[in-house]
Amino acid sequence: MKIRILYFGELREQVGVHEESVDLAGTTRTVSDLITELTARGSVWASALQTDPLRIAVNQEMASLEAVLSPNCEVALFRPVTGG
Amino acid sequence: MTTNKAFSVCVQTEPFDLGLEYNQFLVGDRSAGAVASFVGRVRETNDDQSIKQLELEHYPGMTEKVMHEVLIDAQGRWPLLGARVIHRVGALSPGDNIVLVLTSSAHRHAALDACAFIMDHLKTRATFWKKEQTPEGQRWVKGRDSDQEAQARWHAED
Repeated sequence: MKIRILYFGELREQVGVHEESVDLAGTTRTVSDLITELTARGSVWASALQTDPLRIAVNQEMASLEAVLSPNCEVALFRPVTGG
Repeated sequence: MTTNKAFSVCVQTEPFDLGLEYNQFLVGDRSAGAVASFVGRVRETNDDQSIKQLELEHYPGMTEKVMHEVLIDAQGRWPLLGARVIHRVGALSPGDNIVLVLTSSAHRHAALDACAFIMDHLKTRATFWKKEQTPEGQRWVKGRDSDQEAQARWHAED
């Protein structure tokens, strides 16, 4: 299953990627699985993604770690928002 | 409840002019007896550090969607005639305007309360991130508990 991942703000800087398309491993079903898969990329990814607080949006709606991914969905990972 | 021309949001790099926005917001309107406005600006100090510059980043698409949702929530609570939100992104300096909220209603309480409600929800829901340039380097602004509490107080009785 292919999905699109976006990174914003501090997290974007930490992982050094703004946007990517990823073909997920067959076992990756949820956001939590996705974090596990990304974490396996190395120490930079592990420390960025396992540091709280992490916020997740799936298809531009806030989502939890349990959210189920669908083909071609857009997942965004970021820290708590600080606008206004 | 509708999201029409009277209810609009905008994310832009350009400065905004409060007077101009106010006049445009009210063109042809003769029923709004009350208009509330809020402008958020870049402070020259934050957490005891002087701020040289502020860089604002956002999630295009989701940001506008969330801003519209906040206006719809406000319409569900108060008899608003209109609401407009402008939020700037990009590089800003101390004293620059960041965000504008305008609300109109027949009477003042609805306009004032909706304006505060919209700001409190933008702070905690709209996908913007601030990075500060200080004399000691760059730092990403952390979300504040006080902002979460300010939002939560609107929902204490929900």
